[in-house]
Amino acid sequence: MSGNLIEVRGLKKSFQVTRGAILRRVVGVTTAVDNVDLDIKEGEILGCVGGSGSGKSTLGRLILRLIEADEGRINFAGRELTGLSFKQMCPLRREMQIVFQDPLHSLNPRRTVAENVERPLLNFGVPRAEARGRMAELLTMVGLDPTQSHKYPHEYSGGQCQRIAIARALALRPRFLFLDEPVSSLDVSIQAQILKLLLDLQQRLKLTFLFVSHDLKIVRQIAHRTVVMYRGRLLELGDSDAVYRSPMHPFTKNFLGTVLHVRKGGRWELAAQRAEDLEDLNRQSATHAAPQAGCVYAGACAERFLPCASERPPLFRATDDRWVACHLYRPPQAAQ
Amino acid sequence: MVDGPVTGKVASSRRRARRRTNLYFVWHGVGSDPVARGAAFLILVLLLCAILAPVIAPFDPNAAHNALRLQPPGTPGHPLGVDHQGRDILSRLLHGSGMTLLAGVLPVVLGAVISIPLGLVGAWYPRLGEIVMRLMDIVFAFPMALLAIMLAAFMGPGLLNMILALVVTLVPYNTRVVYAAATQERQLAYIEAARAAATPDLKILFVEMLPNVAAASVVYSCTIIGAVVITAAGLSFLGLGVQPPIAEWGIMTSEGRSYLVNAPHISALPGIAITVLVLAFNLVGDALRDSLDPQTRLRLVRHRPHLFG
Ligand SMILES: Nc1ncnc2c1ncn2[C@@H]1O[C@H](COP(=O)(O)OP(=O)(O)O)[C@@H](O)[C@H]1O
Ligand code: SF4
Ligand SMILES: [Mg+2]
Repeated sequence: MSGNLIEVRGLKKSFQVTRGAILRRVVGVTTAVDNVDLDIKEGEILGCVGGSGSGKSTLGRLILRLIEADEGRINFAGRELTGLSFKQMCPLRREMQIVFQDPLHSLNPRRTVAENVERPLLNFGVPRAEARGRMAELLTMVGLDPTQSHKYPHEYSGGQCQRIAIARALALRPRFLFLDEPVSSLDVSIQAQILKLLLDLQQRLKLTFLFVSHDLKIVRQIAHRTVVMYRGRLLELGDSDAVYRSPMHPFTKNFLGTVLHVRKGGRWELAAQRAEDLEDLNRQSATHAAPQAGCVYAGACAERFLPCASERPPLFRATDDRWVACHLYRPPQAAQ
Repeated sequence: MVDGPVTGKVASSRRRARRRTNLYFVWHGVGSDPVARGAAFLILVLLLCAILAPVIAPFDPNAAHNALRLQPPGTPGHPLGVDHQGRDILSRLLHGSGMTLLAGVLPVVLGAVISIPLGLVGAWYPRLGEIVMRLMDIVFAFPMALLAIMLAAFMGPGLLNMILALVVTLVPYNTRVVYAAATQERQLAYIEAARAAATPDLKILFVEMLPNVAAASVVYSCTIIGAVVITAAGLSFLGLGVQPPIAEWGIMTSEGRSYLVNAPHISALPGIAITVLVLAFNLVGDALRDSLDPQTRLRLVRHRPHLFG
């Protein structure tokens, strides 16, 4: 257990879609994160892949406590986050930060780049002059020219905006970064630069990353371990290379197949498209099935067999450091 | 821990010299468009007239020159003519500009001051916002002028009551503009980034979001001033606003209505003045929209980068 920066247990979050303010009624419920247990080791890059809507962003937001969990516990560096008030959360916010997919909208358009980067420092009472100096250091660190920091975000390209967002996230010297598809909206050539920068910073500053992407190929380039998400649940967890080279869960195999196919065609966007199709397919069939029982992937799984419809598989330990939520990998002694 | 060749001091002094504020963009954005520049100049002149009326007006606005009643523009000593009570129209226009601006602009400013926080808070707390906006919907059921008339009639005539009636009428419209802008704005990732950096809710609302949302309200306010000036004039016309003999362009227009055939200038001149005022505010409003939008405003100032080094 030692060496874990973050320990998540039984995390659950569902969103209610409501109509009306005075007579409020629930018109739909989405379980975005469903009973997730996850350890993130200090100093590792944990990749998280899954189709759009599989709950990757929600998982990260829950860990950062940007949204409240319905159930479950989050432990960060030995401190229980669940139930902390805004005030109690403040010092911990220094240690965990977020980088978003859309670099332009993650910066305040009416504040200069300098003001955007300084904002977190000023929140924590750093004197203005000191914040300014630190801002210049940060911009240099992410490969930007601090003398241009009087400009507005619109004057920068997408890749540069992402560098600024990274600089802002690092302003408070965090230990943990939640990177929510940080390169997904960038050109392929820029992607490589940003990934390199992130890797470099991670090693230099000894950071821990939760790196989310819908593209297993990108996650494999950067992450030490990878977790595969589907409909709010973790389906597979293991060494990134192993998950990529020999996927075990039927969903991962299918998901990976789309990526390989797409690699041949040379267009990585299609991977996301295909993954969304997989999500939709299953969501449609799931509306008829009882949502609480059985494997979440049963509706689309080619290998489903008897227990799949009635019993929800937990993460079974398939090999030493490989966990798969599928009845095919249930240990023979049926450990209970 | 972090290394970098550039010291903070150098970077900061340069940055402070070159930071472009909203005011900078408004100044150069409005200034680079000749039509908007003319309109802004006109509003300034009107303001000056309003302030300097007692000094520059040739006559007392209520002094009667009975022998010259109904004389057209061009009469010696009375370049814009004389009205049905023998009062000098130029003097009345000059004196009336202050009252007209007050009745048209003050309700809009007060309305914006109320609407901006209301819309922001409503967008931030969706349940509260839903309730507030449903209440506003009740107000939307009435045409703006009718509501103002009803309220003014209910509260009784007078300048203050008219301004209050106009504020109540305007708040729902402006709040809807702010609410819509803020609802969109709060979805953007920079708001979540601010939350991740432990920014308190109020600071997010009034430091991060306010400048982005207020721009929408300022632009909207500028374009609605025209309608408010006309509504205020209408209320005065109906005897619910400013009371005669106070000089106000709306009253002046209405007072001349019995003489439209024999002396059309009595109504026409204040009518033209209102039209010009309304047009000027609309033009400035359009220019403001461009210079407050971070996407378009860079284009407006790009050709003059030398200004700030
Ligand atoms: N604020 C929200 N309100 C309602 N539903 C939400 C909200 N955020 C996410 N969801 C739903 O939760 C599910 C998971 O979303 P998300 O975590 O954003 O997925 P991902 O990041 O993997 O694409 C989706 O079905 C989405 O529609
Ligand atoms: S548990 Fe059954 S349905 Fe689910 S992935 Fe495994 S084989 Fe397929
Ligand atoms: Mg997402």
